[in-house]
Amino acid sequence: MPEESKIKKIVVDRNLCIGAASCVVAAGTVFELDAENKAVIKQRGVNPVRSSPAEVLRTRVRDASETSNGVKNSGPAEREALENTAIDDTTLMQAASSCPTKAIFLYGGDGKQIYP
Amino acid sequence: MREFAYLIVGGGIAGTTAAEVIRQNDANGEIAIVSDEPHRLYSRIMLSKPNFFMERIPFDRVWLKTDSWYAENKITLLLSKRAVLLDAGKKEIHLDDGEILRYGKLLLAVGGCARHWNLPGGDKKGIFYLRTLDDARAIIAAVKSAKHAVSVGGGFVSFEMCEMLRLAGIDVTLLLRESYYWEPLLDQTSGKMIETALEHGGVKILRNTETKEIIGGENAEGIVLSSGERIPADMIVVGIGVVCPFEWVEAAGINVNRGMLANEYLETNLPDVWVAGDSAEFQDVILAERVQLGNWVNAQMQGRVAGLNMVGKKEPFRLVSFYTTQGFGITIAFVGDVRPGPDRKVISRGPDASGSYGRIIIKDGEVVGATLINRTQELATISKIIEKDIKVADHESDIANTAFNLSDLIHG
Repeated sequence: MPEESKIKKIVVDRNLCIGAASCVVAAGTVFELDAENKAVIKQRGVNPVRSSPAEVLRTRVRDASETSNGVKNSGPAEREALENTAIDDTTLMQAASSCPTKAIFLYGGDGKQIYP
Repeated sequence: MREFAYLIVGGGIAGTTAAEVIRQNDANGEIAIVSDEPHRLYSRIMLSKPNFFMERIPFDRVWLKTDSWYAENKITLLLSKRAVLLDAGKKEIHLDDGEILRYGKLLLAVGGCARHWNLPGGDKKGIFYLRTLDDARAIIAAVKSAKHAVSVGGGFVSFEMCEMLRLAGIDVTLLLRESYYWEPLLDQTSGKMIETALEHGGVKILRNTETKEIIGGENAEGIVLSSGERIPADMIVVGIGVVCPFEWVEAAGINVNRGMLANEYLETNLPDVWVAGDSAEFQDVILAERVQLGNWVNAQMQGRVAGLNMVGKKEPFRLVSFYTTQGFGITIAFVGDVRPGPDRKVISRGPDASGSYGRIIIKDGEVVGATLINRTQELATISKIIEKDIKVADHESDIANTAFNLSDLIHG
C-alpha cells in the first residue's frame, strides 16, 4: 500500500462519461470501459462497495463484465477495494484530470471532494 | 519582439497538455500558446456528443481550464491569432496580425480542419461543419428550429450527429456516397449493423448518392441529387473528413505528407520543432509504421510526450489509441490501426446472437487493430495484445470464437 494516500473513494458519473478512455490510458490497472462504453473501476470481489444487495445486483447486470474474483462498476469504489492496491494518488489524479468531461470524482477520507 | 523559450501553436488538448508538462518540468521558461480560436482549452471531444447538445451535460462542462490557470502557470495565451509563416532559420513565427514571435523550441499542434463540401450552393446558410466550439454553438442554435436535416458522410461524427438530431425530434436523412456505412474501413457486415441501428432510430439512409447542388435562397432549403431526387433540408451537417492546410510549414522546410512528419519522439526534420495531435504523422513504435490519428487520447498523450521531449527528455511516443462512441442502442469502438490493406488479415469475431461483432486486424502474425460493435469490454485486452506484440498466428480459430476469452492470449 502506498503511504499517505489521500484519495479514499472514486466515483465515475456515468451520465458524464463519454468513453474517451483517457482514464484507461492514464491508469489502466484501475479503469476500463464496459459494454456501454462507460468507465468502470476494477475492484476486488471482497466487499467492494457499500451498497445494498439490490444495487450490487443491478450493477452486475448492467456491467456484465465481472471477472470471477472481482467486480467492475462505476463506483462508489473504496480505495482499499481496488484491484490494484499499489496505485498511487498521483496516477489516480492524472486519470481524473485527463478526463475530457471531468466525470471522475475523487473523495478524501473525510468525504470531501478532492477532484474536480 | 516577444521571445518565448517554448512556443506552442495550437490551443487544443495537445498544445495545452504540452504546456502543462513543460511547466511541471521547467518552472521558469517562458511559455506561449497561440490559438486561432477565441477560447481557452475546451473539450473538443464533447462537442459531438448528443448528451452535450441536448444539454444533459451542462454547457460549462466544456471548459477544461480556467482563465486563471494560464496566469497561475505563467503561460501566455494569445487568442484569435493564426500563425502564417515559420522562419526556422531565425526561429520565428509570424502571426496574421503582423506580430513576430521568436522561439527557443516550437511545438506545432495545429489540429485539422473540416473538409469543405464543394458543390453549387455550398456556401448557403444552414450548412454546418463540426470542428470548433463556435461550430457546435451554431448547430445547437439551429437544432432548436430545424425540421428536416441532412447528414452527409459516414463516420464517428456523422453517427453522433444523427443521434443528436433524432433526439432533438428532427427528421434526418443520411447521405452516403458509399454503398454502406464506413466503407471501406469497415466490412459490409459491420456497416449494415450500424445502418440497422440508425434506421431503427428513425434515420433514413440513402446510399451510393451523388449530389448535384444545394438549393434555396440565402438559406439552404434542400439538396438535389444527380438522380434528380430532391431532399428537403433546413439544416445540413457535413462530416466528410479532415484536411490540414500545411503550405506554410512546408514552405519552411518541414517534411509533410498527409500530416507533418515526425519520428517516434515527435520531432520533425527541423531542429527544435516538434508536432503533436491530429496534424502529426508519426512513426508508431508499437505498430512499426507511420500513422496519423485524429482522436482525443492520441492528442492528449502526444502533447505530453512532446512537452517532455521539449524540456530535454528523450521519450518515444508509445500508445495504442482508440476511439469509442455509443448511440442508437449500439456501441462502436476502434482500437489501434483499423485500416484494411493487402498486407492485413481480418478475423471476424461474430456476429453472435447478442448482436455483437468484432473484427481483429492482423499484420505479420500480430494484432494491429480491431473494430468492435457492442464489444467495447474487449478493448483493454486487445490494446494489451497489440502493445505486447503477441504472436497470434496459431490462435486464429480461437480469436474467431466469440466465447474464447481474448485475455488467454496474453496469459497463455
